[in-house]
Amino acid sequence: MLERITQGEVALSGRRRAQLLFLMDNGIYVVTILLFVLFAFLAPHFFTPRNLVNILISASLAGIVTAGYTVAILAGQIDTSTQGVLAIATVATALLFQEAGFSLPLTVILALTAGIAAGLFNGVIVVNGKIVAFVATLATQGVMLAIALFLSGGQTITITRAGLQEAVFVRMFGIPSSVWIMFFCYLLGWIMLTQTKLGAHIYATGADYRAARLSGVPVDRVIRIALVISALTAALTAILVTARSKQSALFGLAIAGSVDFVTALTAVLLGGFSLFGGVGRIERNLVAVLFLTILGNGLQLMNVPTGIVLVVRGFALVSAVILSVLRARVA
Amino acid sequence: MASGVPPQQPASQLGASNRKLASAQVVQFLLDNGLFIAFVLEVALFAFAAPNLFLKSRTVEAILRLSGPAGIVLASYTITLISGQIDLSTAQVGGMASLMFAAVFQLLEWPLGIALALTVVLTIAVGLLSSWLIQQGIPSFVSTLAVGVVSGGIGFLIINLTNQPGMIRLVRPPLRDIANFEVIGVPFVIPLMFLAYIVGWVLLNHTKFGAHIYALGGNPSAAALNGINAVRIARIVLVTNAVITGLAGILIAGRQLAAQPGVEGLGQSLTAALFAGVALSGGSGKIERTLIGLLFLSTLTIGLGILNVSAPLRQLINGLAFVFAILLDSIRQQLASR
Amino acid sequence: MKRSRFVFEICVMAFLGLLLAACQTQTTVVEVTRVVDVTPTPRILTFHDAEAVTSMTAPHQCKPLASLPTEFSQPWRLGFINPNLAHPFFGEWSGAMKDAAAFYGVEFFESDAAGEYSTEPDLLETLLLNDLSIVGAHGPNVYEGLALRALDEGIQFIGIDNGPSEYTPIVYGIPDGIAGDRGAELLIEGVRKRQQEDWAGRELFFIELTHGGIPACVTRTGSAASTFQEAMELDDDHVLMADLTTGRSAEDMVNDTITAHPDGVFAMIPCWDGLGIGPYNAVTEAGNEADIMLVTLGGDEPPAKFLKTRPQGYYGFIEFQPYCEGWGWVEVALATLEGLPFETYQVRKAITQETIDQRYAELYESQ
Repeated sequence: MLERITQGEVALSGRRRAQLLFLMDNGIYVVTILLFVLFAFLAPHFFTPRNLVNILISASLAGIVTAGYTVAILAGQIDTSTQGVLAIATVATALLFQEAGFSLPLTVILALTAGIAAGLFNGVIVVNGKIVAFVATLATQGVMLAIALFLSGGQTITITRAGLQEAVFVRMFGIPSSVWIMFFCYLLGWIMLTQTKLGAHIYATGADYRAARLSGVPVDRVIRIALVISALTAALTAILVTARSKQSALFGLAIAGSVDFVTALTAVLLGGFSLFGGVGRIERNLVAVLFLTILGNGLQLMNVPTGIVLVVRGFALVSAVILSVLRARVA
Repeated sequence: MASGVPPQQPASQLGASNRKLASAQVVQFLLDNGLFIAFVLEVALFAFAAPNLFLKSRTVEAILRLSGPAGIVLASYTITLISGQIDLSTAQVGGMASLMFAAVFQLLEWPLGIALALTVVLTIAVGLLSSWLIQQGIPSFVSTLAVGVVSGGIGFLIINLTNQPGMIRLVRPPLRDIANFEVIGVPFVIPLMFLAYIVGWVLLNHTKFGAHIYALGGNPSAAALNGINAVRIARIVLVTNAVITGLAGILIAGRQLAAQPGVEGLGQSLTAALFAGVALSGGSGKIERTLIGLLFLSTLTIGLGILNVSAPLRQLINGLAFVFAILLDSIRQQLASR
Repeated sequence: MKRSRFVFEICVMAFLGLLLAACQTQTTVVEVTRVVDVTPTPRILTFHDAEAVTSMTAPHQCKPLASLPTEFSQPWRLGFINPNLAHPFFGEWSGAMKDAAAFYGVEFFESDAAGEYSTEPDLLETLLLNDLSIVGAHGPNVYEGLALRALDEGIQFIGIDNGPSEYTPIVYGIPDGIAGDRGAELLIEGVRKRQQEDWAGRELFFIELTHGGIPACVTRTGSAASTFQEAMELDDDHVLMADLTTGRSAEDMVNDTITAHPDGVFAMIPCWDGLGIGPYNAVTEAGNEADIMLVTLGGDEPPAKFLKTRPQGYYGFIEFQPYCEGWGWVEVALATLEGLPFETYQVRKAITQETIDQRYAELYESQ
């Protein structure tokens, strides 16, 4: 799907090309460091331990879900149902723990199961229904949001029962569990993608579906797994978000929360991924998430008006897009 | 479509295969017209459930009116999709345009024509930006998503700069009279919507430009080899779409007497088109089907509203209808390519 | 070559635009003259007893806003577009409106926008089929269009929580600005108390927690901010903003904002309860509970439950009393139709940690 209209390739000499490619591949590291230094001078109290923890927490919640999202992108599947899975999982967590009085492990397991079920549902529609993931997940998201709305009655569920935040969002060395979980997710993702047969299959499926199938890759199973991973990380994020704020997270509003479609897509593009699948490295994505978080955090510290924040965010996305295209053209 | 010549059969199997062929034809017919059948069934169902409210000319008018601005956008949106471009900036562009218009017309009290002209110029710029990004080789849905975020930002900037509480009141005459201007007893947006579809239908089916759009959406590289100017077509289509979206945004704002960032009613274009079986990859899809699809969705909104069906259930029905529609379309395509 | 074509195209379009501008005409101002005919009531009337209403609406104990006759001059038919029946707050409205209509013996018709305000103008058309005498809606972005449409039909529009404008002279409900002011007043009371204690001599900031895409929110928190700013004599640098439209979570934004002023103390008012309670818990988790004070707007069961746990910095909330708000709408509509006077609906129910136990028992434990 999604054919491109290009203006032809850029002809470059070998050395120049290698330099450019190196810059583009590692540009995100440079830009992130530059931004960090810039805000250290501009934004009040940016370079303080307390704010660095803030950045890590904020990045972790967006990062975990983006990790799963990335795996789906690598397999060539654009998953737009993240908000839907998030809604179901947050409502499930809050309802089971607060209203039904379930024990914490059982709540977490059931909420994750809800995420897996949502991923499997996506998989069935995409694989068995033979529908492009972008369209299929757009449709399933509507169903998921409706179910979440049914369960919650449209109301935020406050959690007054003790034990959720204290156990799930626990701090080690002053850094909350979500940050450790994020690093663990990326480590796991990195191992899976680079060291295992499944990882190779994911890259192969994303790069060329037909070729992968002809060469014996179980493409359908790979797509299913990728979609389940994507939904599972969304559910995990939902549990952490719920535990942190001790209430079911906001959903249904067009622009809400730190893990919306635009952010995830920007992060993926900034990380040098191709939206057509098959290209990209997950560790760069982590840096891209950090970049976006630092951007948001710095502007918030400086109390910049909303309109300007939005325009900056838009330009971050535009430049991410231009970068990804330049890269594709040079390579 | 790949109908072709039926394969030769031995005489003994001819009867059985004829019957098979006949049932296959029935299935094919049902699938091809599934949306239309569903629409008729839907109308019958609502007419049965609430005859005293649903079978009224005013309800029909409400359904058509709800479809009006969205339908005009959807007509051009369908053409955009067929040409292989996905526009995700509709809601934000519509919002930005209506805010720009409101700021100039309501707050600065400039003449209507200048306000409209400025808005049109702004939307042309937005369309050109999208098409320029696409020309650089960026997939359309990413370019337009980015343009959408920027447009949303500009909309908020307009609100911030004019110190308005999240929206701009739009009550200066004669805007509402124009937005509600009636032709042959119905608001003019309704005939305008049908006109937009007729123009779109003629354009797609009876002009060289339309053929180029289908060719470009179906296979860009082959189209380029045949001398079709892909960049030009993409630019025309996207600029037209942005301008029409902006004007529809003003129409909606003119009716509710307020402009706001992000027009809810316009964000559904993609869903409605996909619902009607326009392929995301371009090159296929029929504009008359999207009209039926839109009417189906509007009837659902008004019908469920009359029956006071609760929001979660309504959302579930909408969601399942969408899932069902794309599944049906997928089956149809698989049968067609067999 | 290609570029010049491009420039040419733009020039042509700009020219066409200006042409359009030149052709435009300025039409005269439309005046709305049609208002509902108010028939005087010459008959001898008996009126409903205020105490009957109060006992009828237990446990909410609403005070009637108008003294209404037991028999009306016409069989009135009321209509209301509910924004979202599935939402508990608006669900309360619906229940109260039906109860009040039954109590006063008039017909009530309802339509459900199911959370999509943009469909309200079209739902109005179908609702009008019921031959209504008066109509209302909750539509922060669309109400003026609805009001003008109702006037076209020759009937009055009484919205909830909006106006006034030239089409809806009657303001009913909790105008967002006033709700914000009430919240600010409660917060000022709490902050002043705190300033006698552990906040003495500390630099005070106000955080406005809002959603820039929702006009009601901008008005609500905006007026809270200005009231607070004026009363506490803060300069503009001490009024901070956390806006959901930036795409970040409220929890992150509040944590970031208070980090920028590590020695400060912070008073917050969010647009709705949940928008404040989430960040409050996140700040507590980060160990800074002592530096913030929260007052929320809305006050249904979830915040009441949370307030019962006595969080140190959650001073209280303004309860919007949705049941009484819905009930009162029916009374105001009927009073308007009969040409009788009515009182303004007041939101003065401020619930704090001292009063929450009694209020919670009244509302949620009596059944």
